[in-house]
Formats: sequence, C-alpha cells, structure tokens
Amino acid sequence: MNNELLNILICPACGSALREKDNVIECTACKNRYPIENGIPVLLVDRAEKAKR
Amino acid sequence: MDGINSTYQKWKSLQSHWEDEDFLKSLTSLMRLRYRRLDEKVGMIFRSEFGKLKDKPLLLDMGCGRAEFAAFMRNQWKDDPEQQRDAWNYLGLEPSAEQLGKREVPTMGLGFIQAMAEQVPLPDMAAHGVLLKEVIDHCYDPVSVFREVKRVLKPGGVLVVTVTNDKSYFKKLLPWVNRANKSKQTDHLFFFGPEDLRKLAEATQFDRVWVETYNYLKLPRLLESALGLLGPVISRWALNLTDAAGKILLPGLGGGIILKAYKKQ
Repeated sequence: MNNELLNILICPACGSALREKDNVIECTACKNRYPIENGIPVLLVDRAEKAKR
Repeated sequence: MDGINSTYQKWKSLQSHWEDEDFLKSLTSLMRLRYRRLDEKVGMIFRSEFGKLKDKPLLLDMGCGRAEFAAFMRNQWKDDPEQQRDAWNYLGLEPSAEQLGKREVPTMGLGFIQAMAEQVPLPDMAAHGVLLKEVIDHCYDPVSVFREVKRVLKPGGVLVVTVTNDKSYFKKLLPWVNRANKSKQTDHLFFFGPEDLRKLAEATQFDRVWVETYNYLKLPRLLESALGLLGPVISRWALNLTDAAGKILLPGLGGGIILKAYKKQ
C-alpha cells in the first residue's frame, strides 16, 4: 500500500495513527484492523475487525 | 460509533441501485455534456484556488463515485507531464466498493479509500480543498458532513459543493413532474435550493459563502436528444447562451447549484 497515503490516514474509530500489518491496516491505539480490498483501504468501522478486550 | 455504523448500513440499503448500469446508458449526449461542464466548473475553481498556494495541495473528493472528476483532471493534464507530476495530491473517498471497482482511473495522487463522509479518516486541518460533487443530497446528515469537512480543511481551505436545484424554473413550471421524479429518487434524502445550501454553509460557520446556479437549458427528453444530435459544439453553445440569459432573467433558478465557501482563517 502507498506509504504516503497510509501516513496521512487515521483510524475512523479513535483518530489514532495507522500502520500496515499482515496485509491489513491496524490502528496503533485501539488495534482495530481494517481490510485492504483490491488495493483500497476499507476504513469503515462496520468492516473493522475489533481488537479482543 | 453505533450511529455511524447504522448510517453505513442505511446508506448501503438505499444506494445500492447505483450499481444499476441502465441509468448511465439512459443519459443523452446533452446530459453527458452537462456533467462534463460540471467537472469543468469545479476544475476551474480548484485550479484558481490552488494556484495561490506554495504547497502541493491536498484535494479530498468526498463521494468520488467512479472517480469521474479525477478522470477529467487527469485528461486535462495528460499532455503536460510536468504539470501531472506536480499536480494536486488527490484523495478520493467513496463508501461504495462497487463504485470504486468501476473507477475511471486506477489511481491518482494519494489514491482512493472506502470510507464514510460522516467519518473521514483524516486528521484535523489536513486538506486544502474538499469537493462534494452531487453528494450532499445522498447523505443522511448534511450538517454532520459539513462539520466533518470543516474539521479536515485547513484554515482558509475551500469547500466546493454541487447539487441539483430543487427550486429550478423547470421544477417550478412542472411541479407534478418534479413530485413524480422525487418519489422515484429514493436515494435523494434531501432536496436543496440555493438558499438552503447557503444556510447550511453559514450554519456550519463557513466563511465567504458564494452560491450560483447554472444549466438553465432543460427540455423534454426527445428535444434534448435532438439537440444532442447537433453535436457538442452547438450543444455547448446553447447551454452557455441559456446560462448567460438565465442568470439575468431567472436568477437562482438554474438546474444545478454550485457553492464555494471557505473555512475561517
């Protein structure tokens, strides 16, 4: 994924920075995991895999 | 976050007909020219605004659909590689995966993201400009969307909105046709006149709000198709002429509204 894009995006749930990990986008704070589909980040809270509490 | 989640679900349930190809096939050449003129008007505004900046501007195209505006701008720049390289940092945001899957350009600038206009995954004051082209009447909460735009815009950043005019002269002349069309357009959740749009921008504290209407030439479908057959040059001339006359004779009553407003410095 485009690093320039990743660097500007934030988590739609908590507003924290994101990083790419194992081909998904992970929030560095709340740990929500957002899919990348056909090269496009899916930054919908509905589609996030929520972190186990 | 439940509110936003349910907004996405509601949005998805009502907007799925956008995948319907019949609508696109049904457009006459005059209608296509109208859409193209819209991209031209929007492109001119951003070129003028961004021309004043020293930084490479970030333009957020909220509800970019099939990236028609990105495709238009890329086409404008195609003969000028230097301008293309230095062009804007474009970012297309669209909630529909289906629309993004059919986008007219594979990538441009920063690229594309699937996200909601009510919950933009950008930090505060990230964008120099935001475009809401034929989007705001599809949103569940236009006030929230305008507030979100204000959040992501830099101070002095520009918002450009285009939307169908619910108070056009054609709709005033044929109110029963308008009512019938509205009942079919389940994806249009709100209907705006120029003053409604101005009030929305002013209520959300935007500055220097400018509103204008355009696309005064509106004919029954058969006549539109006939005019389209006369070719793009004559069609464009007719559209420009009626726009110029309409602004004087029927101010605020054109078929489309365009709004420009700024985030306060």
